[in-house]
Amino acid sequence: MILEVDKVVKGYTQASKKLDVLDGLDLQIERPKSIAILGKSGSGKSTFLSLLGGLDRPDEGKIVVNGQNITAMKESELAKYRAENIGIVFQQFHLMKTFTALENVMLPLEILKKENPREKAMKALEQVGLADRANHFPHQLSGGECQRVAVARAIAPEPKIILADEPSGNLDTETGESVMNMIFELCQRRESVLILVTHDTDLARSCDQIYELSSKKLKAI
Amino acid sequence: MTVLKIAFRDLVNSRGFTALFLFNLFLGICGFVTLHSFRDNVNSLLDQRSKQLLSADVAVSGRRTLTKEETQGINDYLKDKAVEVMDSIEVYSMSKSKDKRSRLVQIKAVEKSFPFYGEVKLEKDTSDMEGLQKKSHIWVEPQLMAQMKLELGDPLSLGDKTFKVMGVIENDTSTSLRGIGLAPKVYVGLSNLKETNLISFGSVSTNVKLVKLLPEWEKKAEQVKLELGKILKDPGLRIRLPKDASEQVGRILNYLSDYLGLVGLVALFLSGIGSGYLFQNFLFEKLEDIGILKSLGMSLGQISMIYFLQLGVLSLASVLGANVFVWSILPLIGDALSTWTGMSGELKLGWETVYLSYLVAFGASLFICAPILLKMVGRKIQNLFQGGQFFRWEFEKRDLLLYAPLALFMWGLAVAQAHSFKIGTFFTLVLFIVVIIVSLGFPVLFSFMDKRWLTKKNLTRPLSLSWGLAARYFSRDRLSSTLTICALAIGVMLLSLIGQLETSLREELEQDVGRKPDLFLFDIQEYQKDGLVALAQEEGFSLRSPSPMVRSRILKINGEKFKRSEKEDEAFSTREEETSRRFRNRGINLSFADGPNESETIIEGRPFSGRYEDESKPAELSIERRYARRLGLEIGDTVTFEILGIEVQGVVVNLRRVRWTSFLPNFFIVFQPGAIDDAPKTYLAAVDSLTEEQRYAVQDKIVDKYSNVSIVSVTEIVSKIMNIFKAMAQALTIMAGLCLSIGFFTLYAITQNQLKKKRFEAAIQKVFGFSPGQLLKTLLAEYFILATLACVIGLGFSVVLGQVVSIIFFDGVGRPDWMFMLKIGVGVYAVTFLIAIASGRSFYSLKIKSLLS
Repeated sequence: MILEVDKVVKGYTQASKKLDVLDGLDLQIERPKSIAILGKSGSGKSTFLSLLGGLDRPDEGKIVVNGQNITAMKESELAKYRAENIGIVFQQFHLMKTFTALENVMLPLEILKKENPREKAMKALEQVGLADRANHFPHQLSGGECQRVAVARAIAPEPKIILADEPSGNLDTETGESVMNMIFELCQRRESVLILVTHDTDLARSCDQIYELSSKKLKAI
Repeated sequence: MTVLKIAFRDLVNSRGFTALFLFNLFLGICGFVTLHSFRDNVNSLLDQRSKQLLSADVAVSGRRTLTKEETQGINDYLKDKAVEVMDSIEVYSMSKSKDKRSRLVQIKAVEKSFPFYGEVKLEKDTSDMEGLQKKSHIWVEPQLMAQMKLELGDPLSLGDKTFKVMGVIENDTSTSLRGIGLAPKVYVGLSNLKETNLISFGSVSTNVKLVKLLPEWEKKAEQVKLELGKILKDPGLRIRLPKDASEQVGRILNYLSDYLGLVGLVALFLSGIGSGYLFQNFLFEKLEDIGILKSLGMSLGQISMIYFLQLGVLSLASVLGANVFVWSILPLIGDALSTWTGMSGELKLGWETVYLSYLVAFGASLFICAPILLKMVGRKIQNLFQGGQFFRWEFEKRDLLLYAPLALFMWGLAVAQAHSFKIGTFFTLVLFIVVIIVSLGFPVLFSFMDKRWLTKKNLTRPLSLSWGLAARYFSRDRLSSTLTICALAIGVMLLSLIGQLETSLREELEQDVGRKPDLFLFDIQEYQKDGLVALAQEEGFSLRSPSPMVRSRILKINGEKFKRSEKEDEAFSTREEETSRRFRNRGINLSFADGPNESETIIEGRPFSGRYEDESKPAELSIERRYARRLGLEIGDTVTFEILGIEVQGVVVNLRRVRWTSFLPNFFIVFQPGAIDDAPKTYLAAVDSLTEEQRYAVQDKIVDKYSNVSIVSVTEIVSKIMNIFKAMAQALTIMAGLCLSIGFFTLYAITQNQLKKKRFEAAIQKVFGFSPGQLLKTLLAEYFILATLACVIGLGFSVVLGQVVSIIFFDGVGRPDWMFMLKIGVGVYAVTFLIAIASGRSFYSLKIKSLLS
């Protein structure tokens, strides 16, 4: 089992009122594949993704990745878990503005103390077609190029799971499609699990399996 | 109206910026307001006391007795203008107690009408001026009572006469700066002075004629001064009005406040850097708004006016804050002033200080921020809509023009603050050099580091990850890094420089301790010289460099008549002009010698050719180099002196450097032997180093035999100079501390401004597996680099400047005070880390999700 989500509950307190976002949510993924999670705005898609990525903790339930219960991990263990297992692609790219494209891609490799990070990062950039833009800073790149750098950064350490939160949401249709195709292809080639959060039904159809997040629970479609 | 509304709404809605900008400018202007208020109050108190300081409406003084013609001239001129004219004589002499203790005192012999203004109040009112005249009474200052273990009624000898101490002075309004004088004061009746036989030829005495004018002439004192100047042509005679007396007293305080003013200017400059940075970031946030206003048809002028209005309001608020703060600490300033000068009175904060400080604060923020505003407002609308995120400074050569007004403003302020063209210009140059080196040098260095090292380096080793990332942040965010280095380095430099100077002065004064004389003797009459040498041999102490001293005045330089300076009443004159004026207006002591003594070196020209024999030619002269510069003398120039009515001509053959801190008898002008040997003269001499016990024993023996010879304890003088300098250094250190605090505040303000970015970067690093510990390590590494560069530059510059000052003023190389520098370094690291941890604390523990949002 690559990923097992068991009765996860998550809520937020707003103005002293508790709002449940996820309530007893379950999910199991046994082999590498791509999964789309559909849902309306505010349905808890991004919250679920951040729980999988170890960016946030559930109130109840557990999440087990490759046999490791990440809900029971300390902050430093979670940091290691993220570095070794997860690659995240955000809607807003979230690149380090003072780092070049190459340095942004090298960052997770350097954190993991991988050998030859420069070469590996360069290879990832080649895979997203940005080798010639390696020494450019984010403000010198277009939106599509920035997202491709973010994808290269996510795949460079070869994580088992790639979490993508509306990766084409900030891009025009054509660029969005091209970025998504690239993500699918890379995940397939590297045998990574891709969990894609989107409200674009057409895009979701490109995945192996589609779930809908509604009424605080995941339902397979 | 719209412009006003937008300006105020903007400020109210940008509370973070408003608060930081206000506090930053408040810190910067505080120093200026404090100093201006200090100077203002000193001058106002001195003005109030000026008549009391002079004790008269007009005073004519000289180091010689006035001739009959001169006295007649004065009396004729003043007969229908003055209520009374009285004489007073001031002379230094040794006093001797009944148990043969001796001390140098400043005798002030006065008539019974003294003083025309003010008072000499005695403890317990044991006597009055009438008593001082008729009997052999003297009044002494309390410190002499303590030094000589005297009691009221005890005898005390001055010269050949023994007096009785009948009064201890409690308050003397003619004394200004406490504890700075060479010796304690003793009052004696003028008629009694003659019997002391202290006023013999060549005594270092000052004869003063004090004038009380008729009420209708009091207001025309300037005219009286001018007319008396025409009657008394000798530039060696000084005619002073009350304001001159207060100026003289205020000179020491003004010198101090000049230097404090310069350090205060650095504080203002540093806060300007911080303000500029804050304003720039504020504008980054406003770029879209500016774009909208532009697209809605608002003109560039109107848009600029919004921000100029904001600068004006912020400056006003910070200046008001600074003035209220200074007003609240006025009692503290008053206490310091009273301790130092004995002057007390109600201190006020004048309107002049308020509006001047406003002009300075607004000027500084305007000249710093206007170039930033003009560069941003002038951008195309579509670029403005991109916001500040993608705005990049591209410095062009023409930008220098935008900053030219700032440079001129700083230069003008520096000259005005220092009252010295040279010091003000030197100061501005050093400041700009530091800024240029840091602001141009560092970006180049960072760029070089980037190309050569950072972009090619893998940060995979455990230690290098945090350090490498920190170096990357530091070198990529060049503007913030440069500004923070600049702000901290200048603060560090000033604080360290003051310490370096104190050490240099102490070392200069304390060097050659074994070789420096302990006693300095003056007023030795010609007939006493051989006896004194014999006494030294008999008693086993060594008498060094007995040097003749001949009183004279300069008549002509290169054939042109040497006149009294006429520019005394200019509203603004630099300290150089004042010094030059004082030098021109005083008599000159000459000496003659075969060549330079052990503390002198010829730096230009040739040694004397030997003994003066050919009377058809002028005698050869050796001039001290600074004195030569003040009088504009060069090798080959001729100078005509008058020595007791006889004209003697000399030609400059060399310029000498004199190490004045050797405390050996040295002179500005030295003749070759044979030219003025026969002129009436006295001698100066020094007595070699002695133990404290020996020093007093030798002093007592000399005074016992030669009561007119005055003796100064060099050790006491050195300690007095050090005490004065320490007090000055303390005041300067407070100002330098203010500068460093502003440096730290700038760092804090910049860090606060970057928090958003730093939080975001920390979040990304966390996403990819960075632990909170690693985040903290990276942040500390970044601040470590900053503190190290600031310390290296600041301390490095302070050492270099300390050496330059040592060479200029002490003709020697100073030894840097490494321990003091180490303490500053430790302090800088500690505060920098504190700021880093305090700022970083908010995002280490936060959840990534909230950081990214």
